[in-house]
Amino acid sequence: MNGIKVLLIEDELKIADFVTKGLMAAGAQVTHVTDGATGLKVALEDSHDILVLDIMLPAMNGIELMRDLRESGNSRPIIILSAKVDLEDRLESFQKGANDYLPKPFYVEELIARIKALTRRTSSDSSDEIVYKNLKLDLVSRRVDWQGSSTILSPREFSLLGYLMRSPGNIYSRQQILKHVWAIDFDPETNVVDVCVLRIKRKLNRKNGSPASPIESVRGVGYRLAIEELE
Amino acid sequence: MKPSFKVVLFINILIASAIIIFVNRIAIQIFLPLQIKQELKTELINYIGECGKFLPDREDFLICIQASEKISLIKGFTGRYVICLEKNTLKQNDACGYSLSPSVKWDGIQSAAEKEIQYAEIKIDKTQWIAGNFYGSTHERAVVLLSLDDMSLEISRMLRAYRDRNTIYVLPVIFLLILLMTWHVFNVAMRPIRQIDKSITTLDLKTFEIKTALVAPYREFLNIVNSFEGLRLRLIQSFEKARRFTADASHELRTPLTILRGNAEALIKDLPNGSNEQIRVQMVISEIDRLVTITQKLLWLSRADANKLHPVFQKINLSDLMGQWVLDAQSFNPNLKLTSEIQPKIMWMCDPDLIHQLIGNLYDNAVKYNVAKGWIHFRLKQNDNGFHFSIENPSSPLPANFEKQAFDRFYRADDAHSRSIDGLGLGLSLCQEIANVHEAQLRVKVSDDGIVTFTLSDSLPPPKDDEIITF
Repeated sequence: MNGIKVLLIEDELKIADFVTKGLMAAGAQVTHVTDGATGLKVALEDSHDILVLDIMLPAMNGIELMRDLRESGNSRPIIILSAKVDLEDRLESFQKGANDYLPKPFYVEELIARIKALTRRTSSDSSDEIVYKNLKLDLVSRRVDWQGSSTILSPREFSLLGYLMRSPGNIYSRQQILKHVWAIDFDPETNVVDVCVLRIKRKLNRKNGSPASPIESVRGVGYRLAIEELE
Repeated sequence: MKPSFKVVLFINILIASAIIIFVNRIAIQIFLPLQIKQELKTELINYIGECGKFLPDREDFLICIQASEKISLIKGFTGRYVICLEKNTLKQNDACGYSLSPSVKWDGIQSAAEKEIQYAEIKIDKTQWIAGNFYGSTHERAVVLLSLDDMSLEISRMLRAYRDRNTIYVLPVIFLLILLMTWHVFNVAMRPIRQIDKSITTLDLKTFEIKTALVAPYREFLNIVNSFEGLRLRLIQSFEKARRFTADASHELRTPLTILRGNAEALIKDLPNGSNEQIRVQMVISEIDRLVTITQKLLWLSRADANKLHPVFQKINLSDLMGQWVLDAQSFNPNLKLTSEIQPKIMWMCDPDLIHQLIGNLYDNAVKYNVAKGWIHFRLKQNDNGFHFSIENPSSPLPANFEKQAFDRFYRADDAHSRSIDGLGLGLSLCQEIANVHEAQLRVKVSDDGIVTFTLSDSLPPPKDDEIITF
């Protein structure tokens, strides 16, 4: 994410504020404008890597902005942020040139992950693995390498570790993990996340006997990729 | 069971017809004697008119009367008519042997030939007579009596003849005509009702739209049709307002929820890991997530109400989808015993995301309302008509109206005062809407021993083998 230039076009200042902070904390350079007309002008004049665009904007709405931008030959990736979640709205956005669509409310980490995916995709960096320091996850074989040893993860374990690796250091709640890995948005009164994390830890520790683990439990909150352990 | 309007109308028309026939018979009974009496008076006038000139000579008078054709007609009534001359010698047993009371009230004078005749009904020796009082051209006075009893006999005879004639020839024809008329009237009466019924039954209970326009066929139906149309339009407006309100509220909540969650997320990063403050902020985030889920469900329901759920259909392997659910469910709740009977290779054209949501909600329900150390049983079977998918579990005590109200919005099976189970009562109604857009049926059954079974069934035929795509 280091050095990625993001143009954020969002009229709701309170949303823009935490999104800007989140993106900057992840290493991005953020330019923020609050209306569509200025947004189009800035997008055409400056070279940003990606646009994060709200639809309901003053002066010119996000759909018109995208249309004008695409007609001018600009092919920068665009992520739409919108409170409109109907299928028609999503389809219209994609037809007018959006690359991704993130409905509000969203997690900043989700936005960061999608920005990363889009910029990687557009820069033809189609890597088959996620690497963070000495932790490496193979996206095809579900093999994880850590501290000189490797093991194969089950689909759920792989999905969970991959999710944590999208934003190292960030804490993910159990509910977030359940929603992403098991695709359920209710609380089944389960400790399945804890069980799955425990299994990953055991698999990683079995080979090298090290008590250290790349996954850290944060009491009462959730789990995160422990960046300190990976130093 | 409600009585049939058709039958009631038919019976009423038959009763009305029977009453008409009865009244007609009574009318005949009353008016026919009067008519006959009038005819008799006319006859009396006629023969008196013809024979009045012989009045001074009683024998000639009798001969004249007996020779008269008219009299022979009357003879049938009287048998023994009597003619009384003033100052004549009366025979014994002759009615004229009785003097007429001076108090006899004679009717208005009628002109007959050149005679003036008055009539009266008098009673002599228990016999009813009709008397004609007239004066001849030579001013002799005569009173002619005709026995009404004889007349009555004749009237009765005529009535019997009339009745017999009616019974044999006329009544069957009348009954047949009444039946045909009843059938016709019934059809005419039912036609506008059928027309209105046909329109109203095309009413879509979701959108309140009518496929066949509702038009009043006659002015008598204008009020009912206008009232119904008014009610329907009012419902459409109210429903649309309520739906828009839900959709708008759901949209409008998204921005503040985004800000809340974004800031709480940022805050959680700034706080020391594992600190109490961090845990509290996480609790706030959990509650925000619940609000997000509720607004999402409300939005889905408002979309369903507006027929805008727009499922994206794909052919999926339902057996695989269920199998994955059973596996996940086993890891979710190890304390619950999970069993399953899943027939392989059952395919279904459905929206996988919506069906995932439906099964998730049913499973969530089965977990929340289960008993301690309980169980959940998944079953998926194909039969000739389609597939049946069911989730069953023993349940904590449920209210008696659960089966009827389980799919109502905001309905909670647990007591409102002792709610220990999370939820707003939207999940099952959303399941019902999802089943509806798939034209599938979702039902719930509670057995006597407290086992709750939710069944999703579809009547689509299974796809061919080469169309199977593993999900």
